[in-house]
Amino acid sequence: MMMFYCDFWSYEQVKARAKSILLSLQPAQSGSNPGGWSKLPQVHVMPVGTGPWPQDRIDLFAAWIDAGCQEGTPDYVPPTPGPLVPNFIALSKVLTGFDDLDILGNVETLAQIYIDRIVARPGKGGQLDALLAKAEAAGFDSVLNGDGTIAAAFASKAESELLKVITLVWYTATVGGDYGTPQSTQYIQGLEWRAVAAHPMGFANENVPFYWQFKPEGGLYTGLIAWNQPG
Amino acid sequence: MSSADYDVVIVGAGISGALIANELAAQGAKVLILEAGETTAVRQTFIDDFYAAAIKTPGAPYPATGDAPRPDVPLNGDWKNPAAFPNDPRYYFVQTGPDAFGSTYERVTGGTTQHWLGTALRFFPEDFKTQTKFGHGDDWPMDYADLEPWYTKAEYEIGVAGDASVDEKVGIDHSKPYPMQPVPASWSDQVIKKKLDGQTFDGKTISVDLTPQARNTDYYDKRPMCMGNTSCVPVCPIQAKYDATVHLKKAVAQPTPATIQTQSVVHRVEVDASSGEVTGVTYKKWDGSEHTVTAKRYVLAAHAIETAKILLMSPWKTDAKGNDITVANSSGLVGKRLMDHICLVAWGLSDAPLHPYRGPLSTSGIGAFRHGEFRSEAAAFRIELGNEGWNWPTGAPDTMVGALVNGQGLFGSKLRAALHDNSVKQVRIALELEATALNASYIKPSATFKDQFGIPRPEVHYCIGDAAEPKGDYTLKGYKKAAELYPQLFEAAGITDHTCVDTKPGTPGLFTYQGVNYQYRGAGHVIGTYTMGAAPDSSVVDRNQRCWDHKNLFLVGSGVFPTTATANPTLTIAALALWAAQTIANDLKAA
Repeated sequence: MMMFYCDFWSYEQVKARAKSILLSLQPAQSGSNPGGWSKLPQVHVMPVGTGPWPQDRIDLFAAWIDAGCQEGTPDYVPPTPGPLVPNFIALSKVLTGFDDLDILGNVETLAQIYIDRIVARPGKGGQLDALLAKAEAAGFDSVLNGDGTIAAAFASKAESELLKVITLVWYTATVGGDYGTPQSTQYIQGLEWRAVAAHPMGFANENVPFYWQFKPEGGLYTGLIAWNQPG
Repeated sequence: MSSADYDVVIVGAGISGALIANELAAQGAKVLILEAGETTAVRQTFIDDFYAAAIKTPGAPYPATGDAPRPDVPLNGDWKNPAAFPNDPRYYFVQTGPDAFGSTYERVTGGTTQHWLGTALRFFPEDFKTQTKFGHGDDWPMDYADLEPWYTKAEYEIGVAGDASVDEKVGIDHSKPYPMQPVPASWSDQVIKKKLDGQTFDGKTISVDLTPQARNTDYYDKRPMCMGNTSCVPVCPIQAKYDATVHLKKAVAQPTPATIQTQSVVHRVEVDASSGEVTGVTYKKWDGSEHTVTAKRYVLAAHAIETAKILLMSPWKTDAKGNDITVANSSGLVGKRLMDHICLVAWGLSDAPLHPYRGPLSTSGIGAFRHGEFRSEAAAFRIELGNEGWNWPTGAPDTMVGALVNGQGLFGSKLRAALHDNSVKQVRIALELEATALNASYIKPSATFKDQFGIPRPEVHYCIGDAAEPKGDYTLKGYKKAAELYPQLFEAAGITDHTCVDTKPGTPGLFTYQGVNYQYRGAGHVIGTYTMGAAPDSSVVDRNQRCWDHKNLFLVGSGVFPTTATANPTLTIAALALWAAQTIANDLKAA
């Protein structure tokens, strides 16, 4: 987990890194920094937005730190992880082939968002509970055959459809139709990009200049590796 | 004219309008830009919309609704049926031609440079004289040497990274090197280059070369260097790719600041019937109010389709039979000769991992078929190498995940491995065809379908070939040649062809030539609807892009191109805009 420097949607993460962020916001004096407008050459704050922050906003951010990083009222409150989450994650690991589903350090929250989107599909609300219970009882690994196909015990039409949707949502952040519009943060956590050994299109944070000229090796040069991996 | 509101009014806040506004404002002129669409100040909004969009079309980040509707990519089966979707802005084009027009544009500040790829190729010298050299198309009323200083200025204005020696090897001289080192070739380009360079196909020796791009490889003009986000189309998240908001910001920061007025849809050019001078442009604001603004000089820079539409909606006198004559149209050519570089998109699987989905969407190309004597017979084409796997033609990797899960029933580590093994070997090329100027290919204001202001939507009657016109199958012949060539390139590069042509009736871009089905895609290069030339009876504007019919009206953008050549048009658009700005500045000084 934590392939990215900071999830700026997360109060806890921004609070933890507040002084580092404040330092990054200091504008370059000479205009000669190849990384962009920040004073720190290793910072390429993205997206560029409207450019460097004006001094009054930097001062406001500094004042917020000085006041102890008080938490405000967020515009969007993510769902609280519910009782289905542990089994949903356990089954999802088997279905996706990824032991580590956590990209931004919020996997339980993300799992609940996906559960909500899957359950919201008309006429299919109750099936997920039953499937998760059945998979837990049988052992999650028993859902698949050795060749990666669905085991006979889970191959009913309704169950296999649900297994597909769970897999697709983790890989692509879509569930078919519009049941819960994927938010931008879900798109960039799609597992397909890690399977492809590349970054989500529109979201690269590799700090090696012109990384694309190199063949990916040892996890490098994929566009996925941040310049700093805290934790 | 001393009571004019402005020195210059420019219609459209894209690259032409922004460059001209900045040049003239820098010289102290009082400039107004009228933009039909919205401002694009907050980049994060566009990026979030792009991330969240289920289908990531070139227009995905930009407002789909609003009062300046814009076209979207044509959809299977529906593209010819505007009546079915009279209020859906995605069917803004009223398509009535035999072929689907697959290209789009944006109506926002920055214009279509918001979603352009950034390729900044120059034309070949022979591209300006195809009639003289090859008996095809109209000659431009200029030579390469005339435009060269403007190409150089444009490259420094917008910031182009490239290697001039690539051009100079094939006779495209540069008076100055590019301002930045070239964008490095992707790993995929390098693997393919090793296999193809030096081999001869169809009498041409192949060289895979770096593409000049308006994409920073250094800190340039206060913008960062490219970090390889692989989303140049539709949005560069860090503005390492040039877009015209760069020059809009400069224009409004000049000592005599230019004014940018958004949400102002120009729909008529006013002309004094006795003098023939333009006396104003009339626009509707999004609140429905109508206004006319006056200036000493007027510039229409509203993209090839909207500019032609505005002209055709502006009658200013009648002929002997009482028919309306519209602005700038004594030649009858306004709206005619609509062109695009139709693309043969081919894709396959390499025998070696190429690791696509990394870096700018394209970093190399093959120029061998852009020039040469064969152009007396068939259209030239450029070959672009992609860095985004099969994303353009198939929507991979999303669709590949869908095919593996839904189609093959694969899950778990087998799914992950299968997706990896396929994706890392994906490659896509595009063979982008020179077009032929056909009078049967045109745009005009729709008599039936209007936007919410009652302004006619563009009726697009597009065709890629017309047996009734001289060399009417020039592009089709070139397409056939390209279709026969690419499998040879694939074989030599160790690539297994996976290209498929969707033969379902109604598929946009599907056509049959000499008994074979083909399917093209639009390049986004809208060209040729108010052509420039050497004489008023055979062109709309002169080499300075001044209307023959109205000496204080200039028309800029790719609409003035007499021919398409094979270069992506934007650098030439920028060079010509800077030329026009100089002419306008001289006019203002003389007044």
